[in-house]
Amino acid sequence: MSEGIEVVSVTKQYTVYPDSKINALRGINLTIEKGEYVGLLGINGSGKSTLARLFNGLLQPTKGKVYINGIDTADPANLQEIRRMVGMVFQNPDNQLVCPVVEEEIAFGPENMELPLQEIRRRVDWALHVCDLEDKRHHAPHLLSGGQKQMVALASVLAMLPEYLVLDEPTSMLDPKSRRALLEQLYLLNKQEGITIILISHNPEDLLQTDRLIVLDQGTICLEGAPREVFANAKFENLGLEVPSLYQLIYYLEANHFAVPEKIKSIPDLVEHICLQL
Amino acid sequence: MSAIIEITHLSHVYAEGSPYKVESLKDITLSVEKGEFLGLFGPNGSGKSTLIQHLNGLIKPQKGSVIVCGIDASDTKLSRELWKKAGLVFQYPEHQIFQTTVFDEVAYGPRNLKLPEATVKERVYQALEQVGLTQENITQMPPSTLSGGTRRRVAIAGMLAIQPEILILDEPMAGLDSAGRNLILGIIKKRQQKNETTIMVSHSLKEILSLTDKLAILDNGCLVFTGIVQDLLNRPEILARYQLELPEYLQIVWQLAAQGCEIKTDISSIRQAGEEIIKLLTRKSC
Repeated sequence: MSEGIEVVSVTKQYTVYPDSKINALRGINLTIEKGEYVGLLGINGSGKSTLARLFNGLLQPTKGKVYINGIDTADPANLQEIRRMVGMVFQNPDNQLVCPVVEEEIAFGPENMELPLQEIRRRVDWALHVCDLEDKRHHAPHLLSGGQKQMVALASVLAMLPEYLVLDEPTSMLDPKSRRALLEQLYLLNKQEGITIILISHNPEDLLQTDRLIVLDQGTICLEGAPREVFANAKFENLGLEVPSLYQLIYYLEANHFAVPEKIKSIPDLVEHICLQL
Repeated sequence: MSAIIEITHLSHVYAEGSPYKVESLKDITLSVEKGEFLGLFGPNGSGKSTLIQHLNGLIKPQKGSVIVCGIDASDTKLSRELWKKAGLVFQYPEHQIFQTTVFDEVAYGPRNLKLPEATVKERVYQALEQVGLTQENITQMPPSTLSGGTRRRVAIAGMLAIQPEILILDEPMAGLDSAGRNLILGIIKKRQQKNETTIMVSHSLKEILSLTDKLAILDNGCLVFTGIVQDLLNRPEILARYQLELPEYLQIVWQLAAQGCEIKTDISSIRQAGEEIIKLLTRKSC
């Protein structure tokens, strides 16, 4: 059985009232390897969320196939297994929180998997710890703030120990501190726990740590590659996307004969590099 | 200039008397002048949304007073007047769209104001233009078929069509691409030019730094800072404590300066930051 996510010639069409149709995705071919940290980028309406919802069978392609570890998402008999493997965190946590108490919310998935009580307890504790929610354990999710709710949503998905984590603009409601904490956490989950991460954002700044960027435009993949190559491509700005300031600066410095190594992925990295040259 | 919003010793407690009691606002005193653009900051859970819901009467003051455009927000008889004056756009306003066409959605407010249908139509088109939705056929589209970003614009147009004296936006840029964010900043800029008041709850100082007249920071229900941008830039401890993100061009020159580099820090673009860094490297003096 091949590991990874495979999207083969996928088209997704929505039927729109009164009787026009919209092609949200047009012939997408995409392979995501196990262990990758992938950023999915594109302006509002480019098809990002549609693509994300194909990864765990929430949506089915109109044409083409989506395979998770070789398993076809189109067969309803596979959906339970697929949804256990592919965890989703949506833009708005209010849409995915159901329990009256935070720790119950996080236990919801493992309970449904009929795991032993001790294992549920262990996973809930771990997820609370990872998401820095230990002091919110007994709180009511709906009384938490937007950013805290988003962390609860992430924790409840993590408690399922997914192999793949798909996050659809999870940072958009977060304050800078929570945003950085979440991005840092995703990076660690990828590097330490080996969870494959697909992070969707229209904000290139969120995606500086990713291994690979996939840029969607009007339902097709129009750019793909390492962040540094993608941001440097003239097409990128023409799509209405902004090159992150860090890369604008790196390109400026390089144009002025100051080499900046590939490994530099943040402002502190760059500051350190500059100071070493002085 | 005169104060269009006056908040005096305002406190608010959620779920008083239950184990879930939260003191959401503690003794807030704040005023906003007519024509100002106030940026309201604070960590998640600091009370920002609670505070702004007092301004259009959704939450009545439990303690202290709120006067908006001369109307006492605690007076239930004046609630109807108040929501016409202070228009509040919630977080993710696209989730509260409920009409079947874009036109009806944007027209909902003006129709409730009992304006003649001709005026309603005029306001709808004006508001849609303000949010950059000028395609001919869009008014008859069902909002549910539009992308999230476009629905957000429709929802904001619905508020602009009411033409409130004070526009209050709760994280309007969350989830929008750069074109959408620039559009909102453009709307605010025009309001400033027309001496109209705007309040924006935001998490991104760097996005609105160049535009705000005044900043307020809430933390754990307390107002911990009010002042102009320059005051804030002079308070590094506040910037650090609330992890307010400065624009990257300031971050990098400030961090270099903190490392002892002689570098100019009063710059206003990433390009300038690049120039200063090249100068620094050429001089090699750190």
